[in-house]
Amino acid sequence: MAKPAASKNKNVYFSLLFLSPFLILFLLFKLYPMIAGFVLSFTKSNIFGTEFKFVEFSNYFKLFQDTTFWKAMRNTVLYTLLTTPLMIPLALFLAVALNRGFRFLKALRSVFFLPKILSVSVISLIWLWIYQPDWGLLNYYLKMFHLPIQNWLQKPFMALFSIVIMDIWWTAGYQLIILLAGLGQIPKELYEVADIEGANAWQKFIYVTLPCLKPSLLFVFVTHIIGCLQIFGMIYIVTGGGPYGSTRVMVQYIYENAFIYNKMGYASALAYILMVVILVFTLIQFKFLREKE
Amino acid sequence: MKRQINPGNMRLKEKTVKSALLVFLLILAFIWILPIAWMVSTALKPENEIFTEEIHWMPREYTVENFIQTFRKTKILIWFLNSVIVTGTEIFFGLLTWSLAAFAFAKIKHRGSHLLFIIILSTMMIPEQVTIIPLYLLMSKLSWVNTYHGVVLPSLANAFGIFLLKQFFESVPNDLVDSAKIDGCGWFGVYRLIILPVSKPAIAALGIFTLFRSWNNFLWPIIMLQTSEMMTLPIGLKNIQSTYATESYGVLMAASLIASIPVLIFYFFFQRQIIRGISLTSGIKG
Repeated sequence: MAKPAASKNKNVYFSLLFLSPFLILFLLFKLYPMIAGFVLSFTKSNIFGTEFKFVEFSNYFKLFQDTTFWKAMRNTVLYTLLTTPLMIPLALFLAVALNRGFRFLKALRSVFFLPKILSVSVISLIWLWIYQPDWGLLNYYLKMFHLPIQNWLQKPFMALFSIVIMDIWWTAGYQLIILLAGLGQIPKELYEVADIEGANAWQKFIYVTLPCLKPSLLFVFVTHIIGCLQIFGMIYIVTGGGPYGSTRVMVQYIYENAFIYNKMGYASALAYILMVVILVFTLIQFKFLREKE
Repeated sequence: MKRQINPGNMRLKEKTVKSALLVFLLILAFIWILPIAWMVSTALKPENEIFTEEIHWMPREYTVENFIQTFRKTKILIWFLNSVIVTGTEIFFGLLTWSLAAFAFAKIKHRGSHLLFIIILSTMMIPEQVTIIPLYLLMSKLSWVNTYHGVVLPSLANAFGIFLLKQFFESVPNDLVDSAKIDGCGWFGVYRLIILPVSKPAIAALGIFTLFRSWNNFLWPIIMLQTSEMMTLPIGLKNIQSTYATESYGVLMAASLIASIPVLIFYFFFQRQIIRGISLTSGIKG
């Protein structure tokens, strides 16, 4: 039965009433800046609004010849490619191990998640002190075991890798919790069937656990990779992008161009390129994990 | 192929594997705590014990000097208060606007509302970095730079909360809504008396998610908050680091500890809710 027209109109009115607080914020602080940013990327403009000149595609052309841009892009992608194969398998391993039902399950889970509740600045300061070359904790123990000590944050590749270690310590517990929740959703009967079929632990992992865990894994992969491509705070505090720009990532370069070099147009172009990279990475993952079904 | 299964043997093997695993997990968990323990240890040490050839985890002489220095030389209490204000308003107004909008999308359906939802949802794919530059220009035109509302309002325009709550609101049976309307309940009554009470777990989960995001927010606040009186904790701590550099790790660790104690206490008491909230926001119900 169709509803009377008056009640339908009333529904539209109420719907808009409930939506209005969000819609106002959305138009002002999301849609407008998105469009304005796109327009800005075709201009040469400064932070004071005193300069605003259309330069067509020249920001985008300039970007392809900018070696600092390429280096920042390389660092960002390298960082993502380094953390992903280390962090997610670790989180998965911990989740599967904890899921076997230990007495200490809850305590262990809480310990691994603990770093994530600390602010990004706090964990950065702690690790800055741990990595300190002369008095730091890490070099102290390396010396004690007669292992070669490192200048953790002063050598180009090592600096990036040191950040990877920090990030694993900070975030693996968060992924662990999501994966553990996903494991809890898998019906016990599936494992019983596998037992009857005579499957060993590895086969159960490959044929039961992994396929059933796919939604959680997809979530972890997508959020992790988006997070990596947008990394900024941790690196900005610990290395400031150094040594020699070897840890300068895309977001830092956008930040510097906009708020230090005062090139708002160029920074907007950089931001839009970063967005395209993020979208491409996300689509690849959706496609990759969907097709395997 | 003939396979001989000896149940006793199997169980023994399984037990060994399990104990080995437990030992490994305990060692790893121990390593996981070390950086935090190191922060506490350093914060409680006098200067001459911080830079030593030999490391003691337990200070020989406990001191509160680092904490006194932190309170005297930095505005850490003000930063803490700023963080509480920013995070608190973001959670309160976020939950309010998101739940109102999610309710409209879930229960008051009409032509066009689905399309609007899709448009809003699609902006979740747009990274923050794309919008911060025009947003900053907008804020400076409004003279909202270096204000609380300048920091908080843009974060409320995020679609994630609506996306999450809509799913839960939709699972509330329509019969319940209809019968309430027959009993003379208006749409606002349905929202307040039926949808909100039923969806408490989802709203709590979103609140916790927002708490973490806002408490750790770095990029937008570092652009917006320019004077020391307005800074939130993450920005303030970054500021101490650039002013004090490396000479006083005692103060840096004391400041970090002061910043962490409230969240550690919060975590201790609300662990279960936090962990459930995180599972919920990843799309797993239950």
